[in-house]
Amino acid sequence: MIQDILVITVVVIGAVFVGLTVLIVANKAWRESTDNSRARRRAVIEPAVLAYAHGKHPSILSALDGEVATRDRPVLEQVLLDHVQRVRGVHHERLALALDELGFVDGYLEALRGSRWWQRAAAAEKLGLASVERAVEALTNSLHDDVSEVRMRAAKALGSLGGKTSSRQLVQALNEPNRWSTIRIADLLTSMGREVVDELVEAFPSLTLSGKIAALDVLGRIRPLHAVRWLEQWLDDQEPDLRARACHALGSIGDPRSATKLIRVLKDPEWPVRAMSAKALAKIRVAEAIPGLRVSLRDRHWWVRSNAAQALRAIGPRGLTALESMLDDEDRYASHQAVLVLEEAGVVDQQADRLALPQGRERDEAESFIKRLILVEQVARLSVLAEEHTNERVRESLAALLPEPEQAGTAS
Amino acid sequence: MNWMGLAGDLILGFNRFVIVYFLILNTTYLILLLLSLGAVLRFTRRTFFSDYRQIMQSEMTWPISVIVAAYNEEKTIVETVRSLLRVNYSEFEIIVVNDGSTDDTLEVLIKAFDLSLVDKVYRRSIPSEHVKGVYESLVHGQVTVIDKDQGGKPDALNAGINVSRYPLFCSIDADSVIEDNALLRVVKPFLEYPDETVASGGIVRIVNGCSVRDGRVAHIGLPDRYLPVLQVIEYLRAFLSGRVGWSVLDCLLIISGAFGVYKKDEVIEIGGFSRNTDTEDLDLVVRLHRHLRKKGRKYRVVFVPDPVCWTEAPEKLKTLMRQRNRWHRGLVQVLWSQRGMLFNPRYGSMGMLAFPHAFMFEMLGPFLEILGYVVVLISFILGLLSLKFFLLFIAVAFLYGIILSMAAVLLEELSFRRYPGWIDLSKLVVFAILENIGYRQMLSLFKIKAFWDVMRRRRSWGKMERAGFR
Repeated sequence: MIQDILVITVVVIGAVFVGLTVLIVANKAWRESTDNSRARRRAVIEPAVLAYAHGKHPSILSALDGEVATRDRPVLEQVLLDHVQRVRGVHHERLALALDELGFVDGYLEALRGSRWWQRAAAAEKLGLASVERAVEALTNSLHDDVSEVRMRAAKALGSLGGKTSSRQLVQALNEPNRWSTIRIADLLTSMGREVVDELVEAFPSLTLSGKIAALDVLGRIRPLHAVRWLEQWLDDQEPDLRARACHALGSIGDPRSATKLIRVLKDPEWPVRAMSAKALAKIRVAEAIPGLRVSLRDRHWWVRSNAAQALRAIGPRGLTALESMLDDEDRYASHQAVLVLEEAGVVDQQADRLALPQGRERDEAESFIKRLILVEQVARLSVLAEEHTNERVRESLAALLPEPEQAGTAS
Repeated sequence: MNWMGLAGDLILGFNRFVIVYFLILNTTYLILLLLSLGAVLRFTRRTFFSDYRQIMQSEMTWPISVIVAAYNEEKTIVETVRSLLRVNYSEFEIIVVNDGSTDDTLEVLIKAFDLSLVDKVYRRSIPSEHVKGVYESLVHGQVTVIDKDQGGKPDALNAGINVSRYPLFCSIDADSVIEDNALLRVVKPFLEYPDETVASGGIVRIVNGCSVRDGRVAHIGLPDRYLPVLQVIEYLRAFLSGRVGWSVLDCLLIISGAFGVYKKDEVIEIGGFSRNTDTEDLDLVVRLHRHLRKKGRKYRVVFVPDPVCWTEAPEKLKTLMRQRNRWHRGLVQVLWSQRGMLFNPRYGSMGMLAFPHAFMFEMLGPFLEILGYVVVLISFILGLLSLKFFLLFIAVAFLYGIILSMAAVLLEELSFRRYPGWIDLSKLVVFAILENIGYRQMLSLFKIKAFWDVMRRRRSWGKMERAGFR
């Protein structure tokens, strides 16, 4: 019994071992020889394809001396696909025609109905690269494929074909729950520009929540001024994510007329919406937002405070003055946030520079400013300046003012 | 009563048990390997359609905070940060946490990236040791350095999480270099399944033998020394056939601390990285599983096989022993602290599959393996065992292991092919055999020592001697 098991085990394990070794070596040898052979054939085929693309031959077959060997077809297909996505205009048309003439397009259309998802996805991708107009119907059908990758490829291919049908399909494809796909579709829609704005607005109610969010992002990137009023209505939506993305889109468009509504949203019950509203106001940069942003500096959520401080900085001198006024605020987190942004804006350095001035109002103001920083225990930058400032008088003044070279970093 | 006969029966019985144990152990690995083979082949097909460039350029891609815990890393830290700065990603920040280094880690960073002390305001969501200062780069806006009192790697990561701004964070070892698209690739599961994915990890490969220039692996090659090459095989087996397989079964127990991405909110919810274990990465993932399964949440912890993080492997036996001692100590600590999950159907495949496997084969395996070798050898010498049985044992214990290592090399050849030359391939094949003769048994001895250290409550990170990148 044991002897039988022994023999069988050793034989099986030995055979698997030998098999694996042969497989590893054979796989590498086959791959390398195929690669080399294809590289050699490519060196012959590619110049002929390029000559055809530049109109030096009436057809691809004539460029290839009338026939294509079966073993050359994969190389030829790869060459055509590589170049068809790099060129535009007549060259693109000729290369796409070559793919059709050689029967590749028929093969892709056939593969689009195949059972293996990666082959369907590859076929959709290639039809998109070749911009095959007769593939619109088949690609539209593929938008209902079970596999998301195929749906996405089909949508992308339709996008590259352009036109109303494509954009409509692409907008619907935003419903894809897979964000990886949504990002790619959103990029395609963005690249199509203002022509898709009406389509997005029209289709908006029929989209899922994630689709709506993606649509708002696309609108924010296209920045259509005429959609501002439409976008503003979503600031009152029940869904916080939609309100936040609407803020983002309005901020990206940057129309000052939307500032009033965004200022109101600074009081939204959800912090992501408040944070996004502050961020949007940083892009619009209107002074009317200063009082609201000052209040937001005391928000209990870090992101809102951070964005509000950055928005005040973005508004310019009046915003920076507002930040300075927050240094003595009762809310320690608000004052610390103000210090950080004043440091980033170079205000702390400027005030330190003024310590080099002779005694007078300006110097007193600078000293008072620095004392306020010391009072709120935010002295990291001042400590650096006390050691490294180029002016000795500044270094001495700071050293005299600073209690001791302390650490930075405020936890809130 | 014939005592000699009884002892002989006992020994023979134990020997049979050991053979069955080895068979089950290696068959488990074989099943994992087959699962991995399918998954890797599917993965390579899908990767063909990834559009990384488009995703990279999109402002809709989730921003990420990359956290690097550094303790006495003056030799490699600048190169590591440079490699991170070159990563293809739309919006990210790099947070280096200097965890009380006694060398010039902080100074080299200040010099290389023109850092300046700032009054950083941040939310202290997780407790950590005292932060002495936060520095930001004047040249590279994304670089932040936290200087803090020493608290160990988990504490450093927790401080980094506190200062980080983005919803995802990636922990990377300070002696590691990641490939250009690695961050995008490892974040992909979060974008594909935004609501479900809570953690994902990439593959860790060994940088010894490769040359690193300007923060990039410029030339890939196998190390010249034996010990790192053996680790190359070991890593291939562990990552390509182990973790991929567990990921397919939805019960991945570990995301390597050298390169893993996590959803920040989820990590904060369970209190961040724990300081009570020597392997904070394993501990965190197990606690995430436990927490989320308790809540009945649908979630994913994923291993992605192609984002590569290159890391330095120990070249000296002593360093390797210290490293493995810590890893196994951590495993024992985590399995013991979370023993409530063992055979607990409430935790699904984690409790019924991954945990029992880890307990029986990962934790207790080294004892049985070494004991098996010793008893079988003694039995053979004493004439209690026939030559046939002895050969059967050798076949099961060694050859099965060799086949698994060879299969891992094949998997690498079929999928990612990072080592392109014939010499490298031949070396891999030879070392796939050698790895099972001596090296694996030596690691088992290290693990037994680690178990002993856990019993004696001995804990230390151990000094990792680094040669630095070539």
